Amino acid sequence: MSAQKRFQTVGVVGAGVMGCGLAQSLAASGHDVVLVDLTPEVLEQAGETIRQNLRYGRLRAPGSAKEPTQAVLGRVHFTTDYEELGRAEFVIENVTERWDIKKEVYGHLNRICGPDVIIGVNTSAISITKVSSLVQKPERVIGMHFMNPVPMKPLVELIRGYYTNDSTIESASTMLAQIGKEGIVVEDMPGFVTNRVLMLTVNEAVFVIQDGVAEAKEVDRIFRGCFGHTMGPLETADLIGLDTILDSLVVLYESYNDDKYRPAPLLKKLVAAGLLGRKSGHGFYPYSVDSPSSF
Amino acid sequence: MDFIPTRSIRLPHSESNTSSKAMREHRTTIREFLGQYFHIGGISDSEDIFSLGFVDSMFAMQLVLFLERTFDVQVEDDDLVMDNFKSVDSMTAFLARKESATV
Repeated sequence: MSAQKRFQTVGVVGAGVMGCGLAQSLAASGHDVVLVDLTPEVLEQAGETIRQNLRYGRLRAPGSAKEPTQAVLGRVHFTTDYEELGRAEFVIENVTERWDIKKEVYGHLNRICGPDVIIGVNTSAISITKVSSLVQKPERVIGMHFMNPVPMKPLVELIRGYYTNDSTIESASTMLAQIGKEGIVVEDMPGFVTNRVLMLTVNEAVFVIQDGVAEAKEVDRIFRGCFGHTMGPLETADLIGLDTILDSLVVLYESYNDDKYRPAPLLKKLVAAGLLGRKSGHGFYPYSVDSPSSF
Repeated sequence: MDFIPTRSIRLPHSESNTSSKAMREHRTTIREFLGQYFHIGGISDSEDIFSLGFVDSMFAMQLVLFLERTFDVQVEDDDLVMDNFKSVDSMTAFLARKESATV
């Protein structure tokens, strides 16, 4: 393997949960970050999110942070101007998982970024091959499916699109190594490995409680105790958000036209009732004293 | 029998009372906040809410933000250690330190 240069300035497009986590990981490992989103309000919120997450990291792992919070945050440049991505040596896109939005963003990237700048697509659902068709030199586009929370997850799914070449995979691996992570290369099929298997598991666990086979806490305990999982499928679903689980299942169902991805009616019912998991205070489990007990 | 003073003689009477009253109020406010998340009736002010399993470490950041916003203190990088937030006692003591440092 040839020696790769270090990427110093990295563009991050989209300042949602994943974009913020990524910007934090990059800045904490010494990179200059250009973080782009549509409005100053979103960017202001992103700055606050990153600051709080850096503080949380300090609290959780004393001694892990080598620099003051403010110094790390100072390496993130927040902007609404796509043109500033022109100085990025590597770009990772994290915008909303909608094709019309991606299409517009890649129009900007194609115009502004040099033809040899590697573009990482942080998606759990959209085809890397389809995204790569939006730019010149599609061989430099690669899927980089980071896990949430980004700073705490050492492994990343790297997705090889139809045109992605070995040099791009090598560059993406170098990029990941620079932030203390490692990639596992998989091929471009809907849901890749993570979502394709996890969503089916969660969905079947929901069918199990819908059918009265066991209660949520029993299902999760079986996965923890019998299989050594850190969390059971329903606890995991509460952490991800039941609405996100449902959306992912719908995408898989439509992509494969296979009945096995049909969402459990109980899952749809919980989402319709606003029981979305931790973020709404209740999912398969309650997260505040006012909530009723678990299923 | 030794003479044991019942109150500090170094602080003026009114200031001592004000300070301990403020701390009692802080203690009550902290317990009320925690009570929104779990049944606090059964635990004492000295018990570690994290090791008891009432909350996970993510909750510590909620405590940090709650203390900053409610008591108008700034939690600095060096203050970000779990020992400052693990119990009602430790949070009350932390506030007392911060408030005495700013006087």
